[in-house]
Amino acid sequence: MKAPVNLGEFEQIVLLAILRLGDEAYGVSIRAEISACTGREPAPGALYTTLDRMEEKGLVRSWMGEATPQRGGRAKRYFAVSKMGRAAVVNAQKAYQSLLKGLNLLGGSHALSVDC
Amino acid sequence: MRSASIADWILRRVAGKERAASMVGDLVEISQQKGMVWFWFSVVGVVAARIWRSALGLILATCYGFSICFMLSGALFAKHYPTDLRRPVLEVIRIFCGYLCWATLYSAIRFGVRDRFVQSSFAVVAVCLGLIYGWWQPVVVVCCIAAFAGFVAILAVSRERRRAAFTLPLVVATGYLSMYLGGLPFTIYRYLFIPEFPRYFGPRDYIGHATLERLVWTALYVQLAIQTLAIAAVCEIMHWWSMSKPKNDQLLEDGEPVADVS
Repeated sequence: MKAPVNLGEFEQIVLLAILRLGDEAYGVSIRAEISACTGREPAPGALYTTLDRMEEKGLVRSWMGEATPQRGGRAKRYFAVSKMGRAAVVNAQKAYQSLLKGLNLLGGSHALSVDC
Repeated sequence: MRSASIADWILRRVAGKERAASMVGDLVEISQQKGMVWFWFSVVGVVAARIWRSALGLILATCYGFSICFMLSGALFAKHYPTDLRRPVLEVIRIFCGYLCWATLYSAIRFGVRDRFVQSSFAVVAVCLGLIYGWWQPVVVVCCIAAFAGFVAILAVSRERRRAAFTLPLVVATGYLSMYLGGLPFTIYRYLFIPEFPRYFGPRDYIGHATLERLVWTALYVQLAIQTLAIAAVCEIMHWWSMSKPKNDQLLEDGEPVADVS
């Protein structure tokens, strides 16, 4: 079995945004989802570079969709997370969860017991 | 729409036709709220994000690649001069190490230090440097041979690393052959336009030829740039090849358990 790929912070954000969007994940919607959830608007250059790099690593797959008039007749490039991508993001989130245990950073019911 | 067509043409230089079209489509869609200034800033940003690593890698490899080879040559013959059969062997190791340093400098900037080729190259360069700087000490030679055996053993268990290691001799061969290719323009120029110097230049030839020194430096940098471009081209092609995977990773489906995570 191959070890899960280590992800950077922005790669995790992009993968989670794609997972949230499901079949509607393309450049504009991914950027809007990240902006809505994190409050920061990623630069298009950084977003496309990250998507291309993750596709090269096999973390996401892309395919061309339909062309629409408001895009000047240009097709959308849709993205979906691969099994390897999902494994990588789950692995990264597990590591975060382990580190968060016992810390009361989020307050109230989010505080977890210390058994890490 | 004319702006979009121009942006499309620009982005096709740094990305494929379909990718460029989809990027421009995305930027057109967002620019309906953000405006044309944002659109053009974004186009410049996308181009910069895609080429800065290659550009920086090419510039630094051109400037420092030859210096590294030259430095290794000095290191090999500085204190202990090999006179027996070890000399040709060490010469080959020096050439191998020099071109690998050259390619590693470019690849480390272009693909990052986690790239398999960069890691393999670092390992071989470390072994070669050990031999170049301490070939006359038996302990160093034994350690280098053991380290190289370990490197070969690691190759046996990883397909990606094997592919990356296959790139190493290819890069060296390309670098060596492109040395002759890079020198060709100046050789042709010399025979056509400086007929009084059909042979190699010596220090005395500079006397009375003020522009000759400038010409030689220009020729040297043209040669280095051609060598760097050739090495970079091989690194790009082999990186693409080593990263290509068999098409057996299915797309995620709803509700599918992630069995291979834990």
